[in-house]
Amino acid sequence: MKSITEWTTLLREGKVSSQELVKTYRDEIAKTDGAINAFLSVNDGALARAKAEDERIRRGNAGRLAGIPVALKDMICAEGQPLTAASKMLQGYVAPYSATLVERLEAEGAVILGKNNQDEFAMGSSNETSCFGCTKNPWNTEYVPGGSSGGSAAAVAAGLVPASIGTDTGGSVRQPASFCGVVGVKPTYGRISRYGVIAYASSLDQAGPLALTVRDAALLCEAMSGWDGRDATSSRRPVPRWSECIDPDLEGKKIGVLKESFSAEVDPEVQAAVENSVRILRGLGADVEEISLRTFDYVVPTYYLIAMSEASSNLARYDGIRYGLRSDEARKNLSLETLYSATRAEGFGREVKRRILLGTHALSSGYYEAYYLKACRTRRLIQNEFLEAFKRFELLVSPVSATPAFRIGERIEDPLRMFLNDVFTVSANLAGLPAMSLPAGFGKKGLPIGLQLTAPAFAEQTLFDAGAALERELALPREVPHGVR
Amino acid sequence: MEKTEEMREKMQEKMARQVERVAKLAKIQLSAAEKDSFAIDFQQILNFFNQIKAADTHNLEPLINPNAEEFFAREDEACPFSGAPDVFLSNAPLTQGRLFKTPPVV
Repeated sequence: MKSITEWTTLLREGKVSSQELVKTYRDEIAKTDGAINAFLSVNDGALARAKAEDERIRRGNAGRLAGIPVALKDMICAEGQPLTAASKMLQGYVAPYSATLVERLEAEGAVILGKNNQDEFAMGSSNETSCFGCTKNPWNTEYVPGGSSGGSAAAVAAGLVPASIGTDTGGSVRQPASFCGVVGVKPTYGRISRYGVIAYASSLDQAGPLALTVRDAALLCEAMSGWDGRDATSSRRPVPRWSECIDPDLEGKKIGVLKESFSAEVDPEVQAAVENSVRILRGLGADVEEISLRTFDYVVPTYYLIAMSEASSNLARYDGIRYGLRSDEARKNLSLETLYSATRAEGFGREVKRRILLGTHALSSGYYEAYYLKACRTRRLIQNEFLEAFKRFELLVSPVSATPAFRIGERIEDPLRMFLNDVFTVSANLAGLPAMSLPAGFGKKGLPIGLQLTAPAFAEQTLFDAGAALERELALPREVPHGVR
Repeated sequence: MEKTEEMREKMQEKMARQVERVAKLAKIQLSAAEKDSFAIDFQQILNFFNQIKAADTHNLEPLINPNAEEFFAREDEACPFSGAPDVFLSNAPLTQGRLFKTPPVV
């Protein structure tokens, strides 16, 4: 399996063409994806696009991602391609325009290969809520790939595409990256425009790459980041060339390791992976100390209250009139009210309904203060604690998830247990911080374990520097997972 | 024992009424089985949410946008769409001419 950086060298040397790459990955999808279910659609226009990129490379005016196939989670609009959010509600929908991040990837020469499976409307931590069936973990197909960007993570891990772009509302890039053994990055809130990305919880949503190496992830982040007038929360700060500035020298860096990483709820294998990484960081000269977060127990309820409240508002747009599903039942009836409620009953899956209902409750008269507003104040408390922590540390280290991947079906009937998967990842979204999931080893069952790095807002470079240093020292083999060999 | 059972049933009924109320607000039809099962979820999840009541948020402003200093409001101006307007109509489940078709509203 080759990284973007390795393919780019071969493309520029003329040893391979973008058209050959597209054909090779398409063949791999045809051969392997039946067992994984990571792709929902393949872009018919990819080969024509690859041909144009081959021409640009030949002429010497190619972009930084020239000719590289990249997939997209099916939350992201690519003009003329299907967009489903893995929901019956959007089956048959064709994106009328491209997301800003897609325009930017294409401007750098990337070739969109297709769309990846996910949890319905990104609501889930296991990919099991997709209306197209669960994606399987390529390391063991009886296990979940994580979620909600599970299709993206599985596709990259299985060698079906060199990179995919996911979205991360509470860990949806990082947790599947951890479960599938790839690198996943959620940049600072505001770095990558949300224009053309289906909204789940707008104050938490942020797109980010899943890739084979830290450098590839940095390159994709810098290609997608930057101000966009079409997203009011887009940051105007200049975007550094992170991939070219990676400095893996950690001598004297102050790093905090979350004490909660070693609590009883965390699987001993995950604890061991964190301990091993801390040893490496110390060996590289970093000054690592433990830190405990007082707000730790509040992060999951705070996150779900805010995410569900925002979702209930964002998903009000699916009304069966302008696009998407219109219930047959509603077609027969003349009442507008019935049209809405029958369409939404038919189009949304169980998890999406549950979140809309709870979010509606939290925003409703009589409950708004106690739930939504209280959660927003608690969110401030959580952000303040991170701001304090970053006065002492340049980087925080923790697990991505308390356990490696779990079996398909094991947790889907227990929503609270599923929510608690996210205890280490949601803080970065609540506080708007950049965070990365980095492969840190394997458990006894042969399933990958990830390590999470979290940096202050807009300090993505710190993530890439430390991530590259750990990646080099851990030197994990890049191999085709045994579940698809 | 009987009293506990009675209380449990009362709570369940209360939650079922809440679910019905919000389903109406959220405009989602629910089957009887869905109502029952969401009522159980509501009880369990709202209990879990109540944990944040213990957080000391005295004098704290609600945080809505995590990087609020980056936020800008757009000028209230119409922007032309570069694509063909028909692409929007082509995604609609029911149209008439160049209009979205709805049931009669008056």
